Amino acid sequence: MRTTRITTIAAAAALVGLPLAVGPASADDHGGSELTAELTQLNDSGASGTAWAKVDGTQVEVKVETTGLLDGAPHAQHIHIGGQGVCPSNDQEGSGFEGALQTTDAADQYGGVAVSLTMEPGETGPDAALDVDNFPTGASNTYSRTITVSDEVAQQIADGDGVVVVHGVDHDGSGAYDGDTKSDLDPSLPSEATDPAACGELDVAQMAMPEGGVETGGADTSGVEYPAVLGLGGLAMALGAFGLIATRRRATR
Amino acid sequence: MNSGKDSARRRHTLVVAACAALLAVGGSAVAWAASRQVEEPPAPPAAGVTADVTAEPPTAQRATPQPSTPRPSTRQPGSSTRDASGVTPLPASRPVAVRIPGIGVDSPVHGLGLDDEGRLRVPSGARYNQVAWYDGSPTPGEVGPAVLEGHVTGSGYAPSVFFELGNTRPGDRIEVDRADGSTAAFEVTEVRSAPKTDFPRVDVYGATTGPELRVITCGGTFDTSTGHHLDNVIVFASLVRD
Ligand SMILES: [Cu+2]
Repeated sequence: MRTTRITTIAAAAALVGLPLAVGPASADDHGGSELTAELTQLNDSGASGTAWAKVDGTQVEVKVETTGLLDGAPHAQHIHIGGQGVCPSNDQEGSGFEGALQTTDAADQYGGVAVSLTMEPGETGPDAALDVDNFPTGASNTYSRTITVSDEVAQQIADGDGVVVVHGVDHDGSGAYDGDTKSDLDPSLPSEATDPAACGELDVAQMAMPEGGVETGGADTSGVEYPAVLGLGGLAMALGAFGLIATRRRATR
Repeated sequence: MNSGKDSARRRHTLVVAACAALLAVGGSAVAWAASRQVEEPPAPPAAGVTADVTAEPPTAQRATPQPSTPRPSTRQPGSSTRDASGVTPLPASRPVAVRIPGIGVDSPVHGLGLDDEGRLRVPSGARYNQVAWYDGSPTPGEVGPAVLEGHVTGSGYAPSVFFELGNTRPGDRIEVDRADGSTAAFEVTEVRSAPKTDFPRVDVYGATTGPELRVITCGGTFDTSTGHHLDNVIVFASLVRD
């Protein structure tokens, strides 16, 4: 039913000379050095997000989008490597506040910190794992940075061995990092500040991911269709009518 | 002299004829355009629709139940494990046609790549109203998200192949014929509408553990300054046993 309409349109488009350029098809190449992760909550934090990384030599471009985190508090975030390269489950219990999972409780799953995802001017090595001054502090964050890593780390991330972990959970709902339980990473911090809030495994993307959305819109259907045809048609009618009237006048004179 | 009068009369007749022709052509053009006025394309429900009927937040839908014992290192990213229910992936073979019976789509499929800025090229020319497959994505049935795209409306301001895509619902079937003669059957798991300015790249193009399909078009508000729709409608589907 639609096909007849569509062929009409195609014919019309061809006549009017609408976009006819055919893009050259690029070569098939699956995979590449892009990686993606879906971040899901740990410790019932309510946090979620996505991560994307692209490895080029020892340069790793990283984007992390998070939402549902404690607002106004620093959220340490890292690429962990080691262990089994996997995330624990949300209901996995640990040695923290009322059975909360602390960072080291799941070290056999996601390994240790390989890259600290700090903002400029923070360092990016494991030593900067708790550089609270340079981590995002919002409930929702969009993070982007290109980081230079070692050959080994670059290779491990490119192979899909990295796990993105975002930290900082307000277990007691007080609106701040507090409580009597001390952090397993730094006893001077409350455990809430470092407990894992979200986790996602960086998997090798199966394609070179296109940029942005897709311009498959063509044109609007909510407004007037074929405005040019309508306009020119109207103009032709007006001209014709005007001409007829003018010639008539001259004839009667 | 009569010849002067004659030529004046002839000229007069010519002008009248020309004006009448203008009137007739203009009138039929207006009438034709009037007959071509089209309604807006359908959009999925605002919140998007998922196979999960429970009104749970997206995080809950994504989280897959996992054993608390350490899992073997087979990677299972959340969203994609949902429906990768042990279906055997197919070997690589380019798609040649797609059918979405629920919305009356039956189209040949051609391959398209990326432009210089890394954006997905869109169907054009004689294939404007046909479905395209992103030839950098997996072939439908292979592990990973195979990407199909099509226009919602034409440059001719009329419905194009995916005009009805927003009416797709979870559970709908999508069949893709492949060059090797096989057909990959998918079932819709989710229909989403997303602004192009905040396109969910990872969800749409990111790694999956099983064979999946993404069908993309545009819908929503039209931006007259750019000449494009501001939203993409995205259908997520997973391979099913035939
Ligand atoms: Cu960490």
